[in-house]
Amino acid sequence: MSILNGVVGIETVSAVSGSGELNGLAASANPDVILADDDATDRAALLSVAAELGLPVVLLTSDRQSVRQLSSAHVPAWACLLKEAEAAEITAAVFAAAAGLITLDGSMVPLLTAANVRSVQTIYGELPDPMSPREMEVLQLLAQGLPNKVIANRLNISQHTVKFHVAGILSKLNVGSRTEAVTIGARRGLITI
Amino acid sequence: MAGEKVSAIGRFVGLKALSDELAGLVESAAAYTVRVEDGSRLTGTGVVWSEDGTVVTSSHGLERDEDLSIESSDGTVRSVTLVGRDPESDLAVLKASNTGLIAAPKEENPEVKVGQLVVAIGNPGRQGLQATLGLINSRYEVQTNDKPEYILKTDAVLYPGFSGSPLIGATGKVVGLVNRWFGRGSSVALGVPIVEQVVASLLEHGRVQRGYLGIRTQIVPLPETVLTALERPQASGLLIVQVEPGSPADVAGVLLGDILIGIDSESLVDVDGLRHHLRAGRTVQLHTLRGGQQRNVEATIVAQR
Repeated sequence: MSILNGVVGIETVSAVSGSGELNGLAASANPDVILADDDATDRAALLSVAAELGLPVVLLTSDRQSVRQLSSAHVPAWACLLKEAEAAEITAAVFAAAAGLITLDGSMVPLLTAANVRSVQTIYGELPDPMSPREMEVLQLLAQGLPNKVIANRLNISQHTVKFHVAGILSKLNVGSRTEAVTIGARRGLITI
Repeated sequence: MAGEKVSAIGRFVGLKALSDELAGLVESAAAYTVRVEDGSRLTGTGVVWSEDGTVVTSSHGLERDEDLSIESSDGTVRSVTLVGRDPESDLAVLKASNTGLIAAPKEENPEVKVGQLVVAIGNPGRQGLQATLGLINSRYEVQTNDKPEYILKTDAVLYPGFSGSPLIGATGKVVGLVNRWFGRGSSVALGVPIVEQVVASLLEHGRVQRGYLGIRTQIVPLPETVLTALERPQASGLLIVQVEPGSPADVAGVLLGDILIGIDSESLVDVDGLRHHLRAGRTVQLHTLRGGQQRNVEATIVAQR
């Protein structure tokens, strides 16, 4: 872990080999983050100890698949980087993990399928027919209760075009009124509030 | 036998009086309960709010902005213009140019109590007035302004087209404006103070200026591991899916991916709850989850642009 020597804000409080030693040392050293050189045979045990201690884990691995294991671990934050990661990347990941953020090497993103990130899976799926940027603008103005005439003026389009967009919004959100469109739009995260 | 029947009928004097009074109450409400015609198949109901021609109805019942009219129970039709809508309270205000309208009498706040008899009076179709009877089942206090405001729940049945109808108490005064859609299946009425506030704002500004935090959110179930760590367990939170640069949320340090779980020590389980808290000028504590850890940040809500 010499790569982190001299980095302002990071102090190596303890170095251990394997999850077995981690449990005992962590209590006395009081670390903020566990930086681990991945060992596939000890990975599950390490994550279980980290979860028990409530500590974020920064894992340096050669197995991209380990990102899946990390994403379902009950740790407060984690990072998954490749063993050949630059010192700057590791440093950033340590700071990010300490701040409660999740960091991963870009090449691992496709491995995190919807099933793996179900903890942040929202109850609304994608709209079958997504809203156009113009419809999103009209919806935002509907949320302010503005009538068609004012919306037309704001967006510099005709009232007829506003009506056309409102009809499109109601149809895409499968609702019967503007009020419902605003409520459903806000619930779906389509309106800034 | 015949004598027993006569005496049995004679015993219902009080009930007859109540029945007559209810019918009288409906008759008196006919003066200010109007049918709102917006050209759609199902018309809605509105209440004449003040004698200058201000009429209140539900926003969701109005499908269009123009070519609107109201019809009084005596058959008089007046054309009206749309003053404005407030999607948040689902209210819309209309203005009739010619007067001669009679305004609804309104009940003062302290007189509105759980358990009181209420009558909902709708005027949606061509059949004239329709009335249903119930109790005020509960009263929810909501504070969106400085004055006490409340939403009433009733077991009076609300038929299609009843949104925008008056809910009338036993004194013959309006206690709230009913809304079939707002209550998500249950019969609710917005108390008079909420309606007064929205009407005043729509008349003055054409819209109700709501508070703005600068986020887009979606409801997410909270993972089991997080639930146990919370002071007050809640099944869901609001995942922040967008933070507007420079907005109050951005200034407060809210990040994309944070989960908003509360505001000012109150749990937030859906975006509707959050919208009720947004009052411009207020400084609020936002309780968020980041990486499973709770964070509390302060944000000052601004007026929506």
